[in-house]
Amino acid sequence: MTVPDRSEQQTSLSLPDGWESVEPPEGVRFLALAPADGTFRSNITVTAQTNGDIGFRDWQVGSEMAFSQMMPGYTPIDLERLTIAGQEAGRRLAMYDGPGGAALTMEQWFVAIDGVGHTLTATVVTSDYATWAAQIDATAASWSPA
Amino acid sequence: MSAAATEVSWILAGPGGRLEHRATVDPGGIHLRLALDGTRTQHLAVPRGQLVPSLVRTLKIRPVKGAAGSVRPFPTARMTELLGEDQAARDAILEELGARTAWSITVGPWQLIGINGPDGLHLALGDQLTPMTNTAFYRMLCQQLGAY
Repeated sequence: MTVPDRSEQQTSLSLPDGWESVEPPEGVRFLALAPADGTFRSNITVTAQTNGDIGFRDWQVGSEMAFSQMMPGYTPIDLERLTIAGQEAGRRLAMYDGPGGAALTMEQWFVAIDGVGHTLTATVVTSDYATWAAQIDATAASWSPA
Repeated sequence: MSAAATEVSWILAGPGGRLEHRATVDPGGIHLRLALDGTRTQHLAVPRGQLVPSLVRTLKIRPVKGAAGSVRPFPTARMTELLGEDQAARDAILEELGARTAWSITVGPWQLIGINGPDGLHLALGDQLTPMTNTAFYRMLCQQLGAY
């Protein structure tokens, strides 16, 4: 399924099978939810926030620090350098403990364009991650931050 | 142990020693028996779904900057030595391979064996060490053991 996000640019994302886009909370450009199953609903969010004078590296060092301080059991697993929209970008894979000790997996793509930090983040119940991983890759590949 | 329980064991071996961890997974949760050193064990009860995170944390799977692994020959039989009790033998092979640690994960007949180091993670398969990204390794663990 391909759905437009709610930004002014109306970019579109290819979502995993059965996922639905819903009204995002303030500060989030786009939110999609996996089919309801259990207490935690796996999701994909897209954000865009002004970084001002903060460079790409400092933005990401700060992000990593924030994750480790805010997410119980946060453990980085992989970090990959990428180029997205012609800009220095990356992908991180990490895990942490969600509500009730639920094991969650976070995969995030990130890029800074013209002083704006763009992220696409999938947060998935770890026991379902293998089911969704390839389709989340496809969602990220369909992402056009701008 | 109930009939529905699954036993999991995994070893992390390196210059600092050799730790053999165990877990019993049953429908109600996971009973971890984590080796702290050669003699002491920490018992922990954690919810179902926490086996893969426990493996990743105790095997110290972390991002490796600039990992540039390559396929190289390595007789699988030598992994027994690499994971064995003889510290001197382990150290010699680890140095030869340029690796920091060797590890194995065993769940019944299913087993994964590999090494970690500055060149990233390599799986021991068919008398070869084969590089694998941490993401691919994590996805494999989730595929095989995510339900635990």
